[in-house]
Amino acid sequence: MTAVRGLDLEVREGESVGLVGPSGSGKSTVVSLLLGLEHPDRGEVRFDGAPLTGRQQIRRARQAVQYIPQDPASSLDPRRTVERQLREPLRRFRVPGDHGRLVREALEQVDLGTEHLGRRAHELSGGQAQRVAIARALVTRPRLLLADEAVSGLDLPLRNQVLDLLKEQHVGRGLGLLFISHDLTAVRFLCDRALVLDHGQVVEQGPTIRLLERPSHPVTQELVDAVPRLPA
Amino acid sequence: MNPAPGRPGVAAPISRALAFLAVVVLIGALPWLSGNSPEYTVLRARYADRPATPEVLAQVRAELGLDRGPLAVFADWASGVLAGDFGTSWISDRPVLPGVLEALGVSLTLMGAALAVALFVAALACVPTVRAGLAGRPSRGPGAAAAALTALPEFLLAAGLLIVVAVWWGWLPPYGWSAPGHVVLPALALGLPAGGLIGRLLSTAVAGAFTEHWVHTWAVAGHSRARIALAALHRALTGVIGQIALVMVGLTGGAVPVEEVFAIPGLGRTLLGAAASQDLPVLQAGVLVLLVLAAAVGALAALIRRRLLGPAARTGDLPVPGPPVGPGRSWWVVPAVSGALLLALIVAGLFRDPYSSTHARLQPPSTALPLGADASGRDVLARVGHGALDTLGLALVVVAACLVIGLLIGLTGAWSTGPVEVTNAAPPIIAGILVVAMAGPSAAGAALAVTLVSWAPLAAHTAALVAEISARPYVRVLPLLGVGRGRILAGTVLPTLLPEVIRHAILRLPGTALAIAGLGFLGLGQQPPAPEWGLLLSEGINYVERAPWTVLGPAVALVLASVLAVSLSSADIARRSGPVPTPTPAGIG
Repeated sequence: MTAVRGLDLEVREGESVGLVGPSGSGKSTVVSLLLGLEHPDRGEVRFDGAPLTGRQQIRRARQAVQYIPQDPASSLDPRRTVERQLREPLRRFRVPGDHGRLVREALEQVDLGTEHLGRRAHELSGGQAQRVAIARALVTRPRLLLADEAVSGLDLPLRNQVLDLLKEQHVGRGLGLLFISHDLTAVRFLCDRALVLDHGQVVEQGPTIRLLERPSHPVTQELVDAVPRLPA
Repeated sequence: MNPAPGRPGVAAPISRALAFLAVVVLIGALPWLSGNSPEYTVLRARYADRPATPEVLAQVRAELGLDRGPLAVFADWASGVLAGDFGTSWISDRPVLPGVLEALGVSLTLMGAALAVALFVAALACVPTVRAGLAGRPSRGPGAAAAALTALPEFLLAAGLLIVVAVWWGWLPPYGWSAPGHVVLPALALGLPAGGLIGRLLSTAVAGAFTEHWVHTWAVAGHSRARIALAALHRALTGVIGQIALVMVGLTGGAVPVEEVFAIPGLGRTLLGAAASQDLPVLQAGVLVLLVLAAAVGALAALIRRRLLGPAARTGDLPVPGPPVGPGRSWWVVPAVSGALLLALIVAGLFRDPYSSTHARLQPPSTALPLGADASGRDVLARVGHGALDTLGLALVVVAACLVIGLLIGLTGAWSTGPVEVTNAAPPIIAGILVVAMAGPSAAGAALAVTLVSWAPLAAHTAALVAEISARPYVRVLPLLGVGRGRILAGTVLPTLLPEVIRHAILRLPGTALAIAGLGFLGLGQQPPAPEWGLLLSEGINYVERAPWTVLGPAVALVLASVLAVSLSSADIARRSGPVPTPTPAGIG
């Protein structure tokens, strides 16, 4: 079975790109390919110009490209403290510097204090758990964040908090962002340009504003129509 | 995607083939592996007049071809087997195959009759579940006590039936295999436990099938109760047919003590005799035949399952059962009472002397001697109490070893499929016979034999947990945080599954003690004068007409242990199949 075909996608340093599409359009396969979890049958994934093959290159890429999964809170190990989970990637990627300081800075970036360091997942509120998961993605100082439906399962206030946080990282710190979603309002809020994926193929791409205001493909039109509007 | 080791696609079939090959090589190299100098046995059996000088023994060794190393021994045997020649008996010097096939015929007749008993018992056990299901009431299946009573070990049941029905009541012939009446008691001894087990499996599955949505739809559509009951049974069978096949394969092991107790010339008794006399060619042929039989039963079960499932086997469109009913509030009563009684029996005996023959021979029970004396004038209560240390102590060592082996093999994921399947198909008694053939009977040998086959359920449980835990979102994200495969397994997966697997291992303790006692009963384990429970039972059985108390003590201890084992495991199955939080299908992919 082919999940994705003929995809040409480039994310430049500090750019924010949206990847939208209905369920089953192949978005998650793209994520797996980009993270080196799966390998394409044809074509290649490049990071910093070098193909993403071989353990060393994948390792280097993973440190620089961090990932925020759908429902980030469930990606926290229930048995480990926040501190231990934030230190883990620093140790594994052998990041130089004072790990304690890096962990505290990462927590600060998501508006959490050091009092959360000793807590476990069940001692955090839903919003705090989301923030910890994002802090864990930020702690290795990545250059690109890959957010895969990172706000889809969240209630509205929490969704907005997470979106604000991602925006702050992108605008304030120049972090690159690949935002995968079927939620066009979130994409418009975060991304300068977007690609629409359907049945594993890009059917439309361009500046997010244009896609939203003048969709030319029926799939894009359907996604635009699905955006809830307040009655005029 | 999945950090769990082993690709289920290739790993399972390769692992199956390797495991089967390993067992065949083991059987083929048996004569070379035997540490008990088989040349001496052969010399005694064939040339009783020749002295056992080193030259003569070397000559016999050369005659048997044992001096050429394991590979040559195996190659000779394998090429013979492929040509239909299973070799000649070391004892009788006659071809092995005709005798083994004749014994197989007897065993198959016995197993067929036992299967009929088992299916009848299983059907009875399912009646209340089906009734409850048709009435729309939730059901837990048969009660733990009833299940425990049908799940006595075969050697105990065989001895009990022989004593009560054949000796005391005189209703049926006690020994032999010449008239139809000879089949009844052995078939009951073999079929009742198997039926109890199949009944438990099936009625739990039937209860699950009745919670599926289609039952309601069918009832509304006006299908008859009989039609719905049959459909529920059909649906339940698909899930448990594999386990039922394992129970049927287990009959081959259970048949050994039953054939021994009732003096039936079947394959089990032939194997036992061959192990005792070190007639390894007979043993090789017999074990190989059993292996083929087990493989055939397994293949048949797989075929039946496919037929039962129909197109759903390919499309995976199976209905989802509702949440099962957990164990009842008083589930702990049966294990607690049997455990307390067992403990009382053991403690009472521990402070008495088990070895000195200070009492009269076969002295009846009295206040001073609550369980009487055995044929050597030893205190039966003391022997039962001290025997617990032997039997349960050995079981503890075996369970600990099984835990380590089960974890190590289970962590390999799909690669464990083959060893687990092959080991599951080998009952402890068959392993015991092989170990005895190689090293002679001993406590360590019995422990080794039970260990060799008892790690498999723990490995299967570990492998299932590895797959489940590896699919959790917080484990799937670890490779992206730079955590390697080995570290994920050792640092996250193992600590999460360890408490669950340890609990499972502890629950297996009484069952393991029974397996060790079974080997002791057949003379394959500890040797006299050790007070091991199975040994006590087999010693006492010779005097049962004059002094029934000699078997009463060990029999009661074993019954309590089996009730404890079965009631604990049924409560555990009910608890484990309860609603568990499933990992969210989130994460990547």
